[in-house]
Amino acid sequence: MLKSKEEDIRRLADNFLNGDSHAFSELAELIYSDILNISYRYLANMEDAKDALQGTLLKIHGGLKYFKNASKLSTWIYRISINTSLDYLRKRRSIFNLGARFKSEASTESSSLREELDIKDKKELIRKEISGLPLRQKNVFILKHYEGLTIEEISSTIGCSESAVKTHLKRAVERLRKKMEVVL
Amino acid sequence: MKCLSEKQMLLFFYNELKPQERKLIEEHLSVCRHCSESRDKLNNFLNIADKEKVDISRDNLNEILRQLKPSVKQESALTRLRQKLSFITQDILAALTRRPQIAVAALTIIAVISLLPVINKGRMEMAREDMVDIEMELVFEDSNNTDVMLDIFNFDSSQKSSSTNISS
Repeated sequence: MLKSKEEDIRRLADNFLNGDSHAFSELAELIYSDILNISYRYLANMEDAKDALQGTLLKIHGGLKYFKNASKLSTWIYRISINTSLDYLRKRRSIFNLGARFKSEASTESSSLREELDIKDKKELIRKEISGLPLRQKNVFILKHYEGLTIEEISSTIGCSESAVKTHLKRAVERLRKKMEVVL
Repeated sequence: MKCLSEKQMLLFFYNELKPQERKLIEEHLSVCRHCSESRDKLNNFLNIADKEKVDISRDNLNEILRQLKPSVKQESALTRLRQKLSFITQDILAALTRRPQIAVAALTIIAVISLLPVINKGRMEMAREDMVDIEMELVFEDSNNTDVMLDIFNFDSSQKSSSTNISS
């Protein structure tokens, strides 16, 4: 997250804690897009992502007074957003696994599938495959590839060392490439 | 320079290398066909992964914020406590992640504290065994003394019996 945005988040959070009732709405406007996109990457569904956004904003609203500056405020918000999305994911067990369908079809007629799938389908397929990654790999890949966080920021967001983040990122990409090789 | 590992290529793609290392890799890529082909394949793959952002309308956001207010008021004391505990745990975990030496020190202290009763129990058992040894030594010494006394007694009685035999 940009340094100026981090400062704005901090300022609005302080105003909210000092009793400014409008400050939280301003804060929500500033951060909702990041939260919505993280939730969407995990849940692969816009309605669920909106629910997760609401859940995350509720937790931030209730939790800001307990924030102890142990990390950057944006890192703390990312962490809440990831945890809330994962809670929704656990609740919603029946995820439609598009990847499995494509894989079974691909095993019989991979060349024709390759031709049939246009770039939009490939993007959709990769998005579904990401939801099937192991948790740590998924966390790292989403935060790095989609949110553009640095390795250092991811390390403090998900709570593991920088070298572990690099390893999870490498494994996530390897796994996705392997799953996608029949259609690429 | 050796050919690039997958991790190096990935960190190169995401611009996560130090300038000096990045320069070395760029130089290598300009002369190594194998690595430059691998780099192109990786780039093609990662560029497919959709980076388009999703968004909601302002009305949608306002609706979410409007729904947020009653939910905030309806929070029970238990929910607030659970939330507070959850945030405290998150803070502790974040602090431990940043400074793992604190976690190591805490674990060492916990291990020492939990081992203390075992160590003390061992010491108590050793002390008890020592006491048993001392008691046994004392009993042994007593029995030796008794044997000596019995020997004396036997000696006296045998002498008496022999004298009786002589007199008879």
